[in-house]
Amino acid sequence: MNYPLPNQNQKYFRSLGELESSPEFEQFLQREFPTAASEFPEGVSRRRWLQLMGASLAFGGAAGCRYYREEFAEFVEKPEGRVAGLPQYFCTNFEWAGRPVHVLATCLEGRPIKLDGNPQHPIYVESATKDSKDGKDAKFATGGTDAFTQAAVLSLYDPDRLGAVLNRATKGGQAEAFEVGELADWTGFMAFAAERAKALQAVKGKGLAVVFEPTASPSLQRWLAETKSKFPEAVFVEYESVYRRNQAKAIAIAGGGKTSSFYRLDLAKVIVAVDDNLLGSDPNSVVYSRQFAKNRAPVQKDMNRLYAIESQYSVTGASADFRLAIKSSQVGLFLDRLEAMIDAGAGFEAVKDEKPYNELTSQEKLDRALQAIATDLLANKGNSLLTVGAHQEIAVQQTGLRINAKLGNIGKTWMLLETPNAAQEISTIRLDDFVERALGNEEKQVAPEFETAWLLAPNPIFSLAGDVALSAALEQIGQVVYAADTDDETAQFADWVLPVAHPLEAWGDVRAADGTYGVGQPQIDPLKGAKSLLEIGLILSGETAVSPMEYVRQTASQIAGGSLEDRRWREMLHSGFLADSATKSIDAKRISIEKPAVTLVKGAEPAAPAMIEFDLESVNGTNLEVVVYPSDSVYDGRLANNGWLQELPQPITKLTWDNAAVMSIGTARKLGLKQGELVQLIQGEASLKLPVFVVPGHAEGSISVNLGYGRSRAGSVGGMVRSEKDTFTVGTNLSPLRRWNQHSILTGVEAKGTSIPYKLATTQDHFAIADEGGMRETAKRSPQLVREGTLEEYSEANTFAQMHLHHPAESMWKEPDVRQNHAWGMTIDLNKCIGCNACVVACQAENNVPIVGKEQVSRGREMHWLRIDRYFQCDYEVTAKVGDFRDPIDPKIVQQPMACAHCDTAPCEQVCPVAATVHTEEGINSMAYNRCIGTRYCANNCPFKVRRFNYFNYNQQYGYFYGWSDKREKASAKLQQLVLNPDVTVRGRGVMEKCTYCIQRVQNGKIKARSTGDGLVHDGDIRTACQEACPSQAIVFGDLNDKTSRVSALQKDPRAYGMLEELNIKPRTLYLARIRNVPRRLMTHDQLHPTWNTSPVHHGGHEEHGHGHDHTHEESKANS
Amino acid sequence: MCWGLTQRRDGCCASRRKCGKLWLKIAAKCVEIGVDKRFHACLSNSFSEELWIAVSIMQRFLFPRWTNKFLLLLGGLIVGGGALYAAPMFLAVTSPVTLNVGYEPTQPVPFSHAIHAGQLKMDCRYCHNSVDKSAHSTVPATQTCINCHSPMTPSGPPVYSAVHSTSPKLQAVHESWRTGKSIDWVRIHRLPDFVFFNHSAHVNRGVSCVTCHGRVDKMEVVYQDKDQSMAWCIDCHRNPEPHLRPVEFVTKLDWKAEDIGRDQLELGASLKKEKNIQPMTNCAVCHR
Repeated sequence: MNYPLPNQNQKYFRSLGELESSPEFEQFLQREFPTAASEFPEGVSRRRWLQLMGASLAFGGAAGCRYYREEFAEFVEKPEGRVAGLPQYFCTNFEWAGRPVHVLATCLEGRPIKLDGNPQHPIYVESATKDSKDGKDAKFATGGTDAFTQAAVLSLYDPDRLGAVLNRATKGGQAEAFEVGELADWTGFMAFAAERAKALQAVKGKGLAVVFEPTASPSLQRWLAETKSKFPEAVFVEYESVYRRNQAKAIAIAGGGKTSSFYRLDLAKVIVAVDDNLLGSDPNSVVYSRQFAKNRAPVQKDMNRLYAIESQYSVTGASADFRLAIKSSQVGLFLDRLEAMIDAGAGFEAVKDEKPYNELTSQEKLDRALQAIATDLLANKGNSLLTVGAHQEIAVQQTGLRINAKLGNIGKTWMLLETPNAAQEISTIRLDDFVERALGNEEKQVAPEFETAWLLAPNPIFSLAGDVALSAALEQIGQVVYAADTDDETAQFADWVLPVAHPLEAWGDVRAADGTYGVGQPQIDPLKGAKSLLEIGLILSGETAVSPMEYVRQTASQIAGGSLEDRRWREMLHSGFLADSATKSIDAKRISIEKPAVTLVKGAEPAAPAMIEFDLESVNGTNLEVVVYPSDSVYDGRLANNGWLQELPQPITKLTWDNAAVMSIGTARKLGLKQGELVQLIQGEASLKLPVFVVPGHAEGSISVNLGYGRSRAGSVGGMVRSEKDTFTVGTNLSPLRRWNQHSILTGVEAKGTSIPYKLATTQDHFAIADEGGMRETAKRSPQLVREGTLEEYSEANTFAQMHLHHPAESMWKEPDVRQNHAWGMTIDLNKCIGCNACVVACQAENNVPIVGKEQVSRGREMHWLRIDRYFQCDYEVTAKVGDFRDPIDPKIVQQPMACAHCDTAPCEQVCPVAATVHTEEGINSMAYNRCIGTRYCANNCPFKVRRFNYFNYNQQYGYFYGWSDKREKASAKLQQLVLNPDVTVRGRGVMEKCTYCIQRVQNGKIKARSTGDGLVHDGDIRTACQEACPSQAIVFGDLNDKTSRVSALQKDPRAYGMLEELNIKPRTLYLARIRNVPRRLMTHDQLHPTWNTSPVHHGGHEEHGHGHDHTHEESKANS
Repeated sequence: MCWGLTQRRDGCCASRRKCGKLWLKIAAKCVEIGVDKRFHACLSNSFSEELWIAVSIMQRFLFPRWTNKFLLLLGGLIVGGGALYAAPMFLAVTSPVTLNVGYEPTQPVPFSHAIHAGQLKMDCRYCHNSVDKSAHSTVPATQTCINCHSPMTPSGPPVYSAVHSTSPKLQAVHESWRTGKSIDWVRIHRLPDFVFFNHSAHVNRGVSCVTCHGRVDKMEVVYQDKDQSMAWCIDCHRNPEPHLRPVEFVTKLDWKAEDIGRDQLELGASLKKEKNIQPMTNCAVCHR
């Protein structure tokens, strides 16, 4: 039966493809894998296929033979405390992707294989969720991490990391990149550096330039300060790839220098994130997510409220209770108006019989939102918080600070901390000045200034704006020493390229956001003989007498105030932080918010338009803005060679292996652009072609793009241009378009459609849940899959999530007893989940989940056991009334982590012909891989579409999809298999796999409990990898037979619901419905008139209704 | 001398001598032009005419026609024989019992469990010290051997623990101690990679070493005693009573329930109840 389009009943959709019922979406919906998914990847010849098959057969034969020799190589002298097969845990701290991370590293047989947040670290303990029942929350403490940190172990074993000290002067300018297996030889460089340091000291460092990245490591800061005093004439250049200097500067001005800032979201009742991806790309997003989630349970009276005002659709916007899309370049004006309203203090109360928010015009919406936000802020003086994105101008930053000061938030929810930073006391110059001075100027008769440059910032040539001629400057400089982790783009212009150790290989330190000091200890010897940035610095400045560990210990002693005796040093290494080293809040009297704004940027921006243009009219020709964000996957490009991150579906777009020009539907339509085509962005003479990606709800007239793609020398995963023919890149490099004086927000950009098709690999439509009936069924089911309501609804009837569904009256067969001893179960709180992806990578790291490459992803073959479904939600009746159904008004987002729900009566088990997937007595739906013959019936019968099939030996032929040679693949495999978790089988070709509730952790936890202690598994002893990684503690796992466990309590919560429970599958994973704490004035029509409560509730047994659920809706539609 | 297998119906070749000579010639020619090339050479007529005669004689060496009636029988014999051969191959030869049991590789050090564990009654855990802590029961570090068997020092025998300090049998141990390189012990008991067996889970609940490894204390050279197949594992998981004993006797390989005046089955049942031992048989117990 054909169903009419548009389907106005539909409220939730995954993509515009679904909205418009594209055939592609239909295919993803109807089949467990799309048609092409059964075919071979492009470019695999039959010959190669025969090779693969032949090899498989040969290996199969070998494995079947018993008498082949296997040898043990046991230690000669065993290290103390090392037990083969038992993990060891060590605390460490380091900076990763510009963020301070505090982790507990899991090391097996001496190699780190997993990183998780250090649960004892004060910054986590401070904001830990209080257990509502009793005070035993310390036991459940988890640290939480982000996706970057979870993927850090893969970078450690990256075969493309530089494994040699390159000297281009002696090797004729050619690098022997990507050597595998050999350790770097430092002797030549050490001799050179020692001599050079002496020569430089003689001239007080004249002619030396040190390019560095701002760091939170006190030892590196100290080294910079000491180097400055040793070489007083040297010039220090600060370079940030992701520009946060404006914010730092504004805060420094406010606090009078030596200032760092730290938000306390857990103390704020109202949070306004203004163009600030607080929960996503902020360096402290893990801590902030945790703080945010702390007051997120609706049972608490003080459930917080988050407003997001932003141009892109970020995870913060998706988690917000109310989101307003405006252009990033107009945020300053927005804040000015907000400030004026806060100054006025009153006069914007609600009028009687107001229209619902979504029926207003754009301008009215803006006014209403401003009024509501101002009212809310004024009502919560001292426990509200307004944050401004770090990429905004300094004047905007200061407005934000002023508003907070007026509300009395400074010192309460916004801490200004007195954090000493030795590097801040050095006078630095900007990179563009450095380039100018390095090049000299013949006309003005200014000679080039520098003879030596130490490049200690990662890959500036790649991440720099296109109008700064750094490469020319470097060629001008006689000796360029560059510390790099791969032989990258910048290394091409350096005379010496020095391999930098991974933070897990070296000594270091870092200050947490609250100032707590922590040391980073090496977990493994440098795999490729690299040295840490600190050690390289010490060699360069001629301070080789002190080892990096001693140097760090000296710093630690200074911070501890006096010498740190052995016992305290060891204690600090053990616990991962220096106790009570959090920095003090600045005395309120010293804070001076009112200081006049300082213009930091050369050639300041043209005056902003006087009024906020908030409609489509602003999208004409040259009035577009392009906002550059660090990627949620590869940051600024330094993580580009990390396959886990490249294949990670980015939070909102669900794009993998690419960046795109993300824009709203209206903008795309206005510009005549279509998704999957290239758009040419032009600003002056600079231009760039990027694929278009349309996201509903994106600000009109704004295009957001991600930094970090288009690397030409990242490695075999992230892009490599060896010659014109041998080219492989991932995404597009933005630097041709970027301008130095417009760090993040590029205004006056023109966009031209090109009609050139471009294939994007997005997973947004993959594994869409439906059943017979296709699209209509999906439309009907989506609101059952993700359930949400407003806080008002919840307070009225907290059982609203228990929807009017037919629950099957009786089962047709005798149901198995799957609750013996334990009954494992899980809850996922949609109210706390921010969709940050940490769990997805954690699962990948824990369970040896392979990556498959862009081409395979576009066929729907990605292997992630845990995916995050992102649904747009919108009020269709109003949209249809006001405009076009294809351009939904104010779409909201709900995100739902989806993995195997471990149904008690699992449909997959009933169809497996070989009983390869069966239940344990404790309710875990397990996979016996060695029994699986790959019929894929189970995937076909899984209503959640969570089963994944190994079309290839993804774990063995790792590099095949990137065109690696066999030799290289073998060499890489040696290194790469070190990251595998030995407790989990590495699956081969032709085998089905899926989430196992981390069965290895469950089994090992039970064995541990019964071998030691009282023999009982206590709540919180066994945690799944996703639970451990979750920064907002949305995932809880435990024993449902234990009536006191947290998961038992949560499964009885009125918000708890099981997906597709009406199929009588009895899922073990329950979701807690999302509650939006929307102020009444900003509620949409739908939110004001919720349908859940008014619809009559059906009970099981109504035979005439079959399995339909929304009859009332359909009937009323038909009648009207 | 005729090399023919059977005669053709038109009689034997006239001249046996000529025939023999021809065969020699063929052989000589083949050596001369190389074996690989000979067929090519045949085709390109570089062979002498004599060779063609030889080939035609060879064509006579065919089975007589009356043998055709036995073809069916022959086929039946081959198939039947194959089946007779394959059945034991699959059922017996490739069974874990045949493949695994009795595997006795030569170790780099001729270490005698019979002396150490048997005569000297050393506890298994002196060397296999992680057996009650971890999934793996490790082989000892070289240091563990050196505790008793220190090598000779330049100034004479070491003061302590100088058992057999010059024995040639300990050469590999002393070599490892001197150079810092591991001794490459050969693994005997090996489960497939998709099987996750945990020693501590069993040892701490009273499953003795002897249950899976046999009387190692009587073995001069260790060999695999049990087949360690899945069926064998499951037998015990379904019916653990015959294999349970008090934990303190786990490493006493010659222990019997009668030693403490109990019946094994009755003791096993009471231990099972007391320690809440409920071995499961679902796949995920061993396969993860």
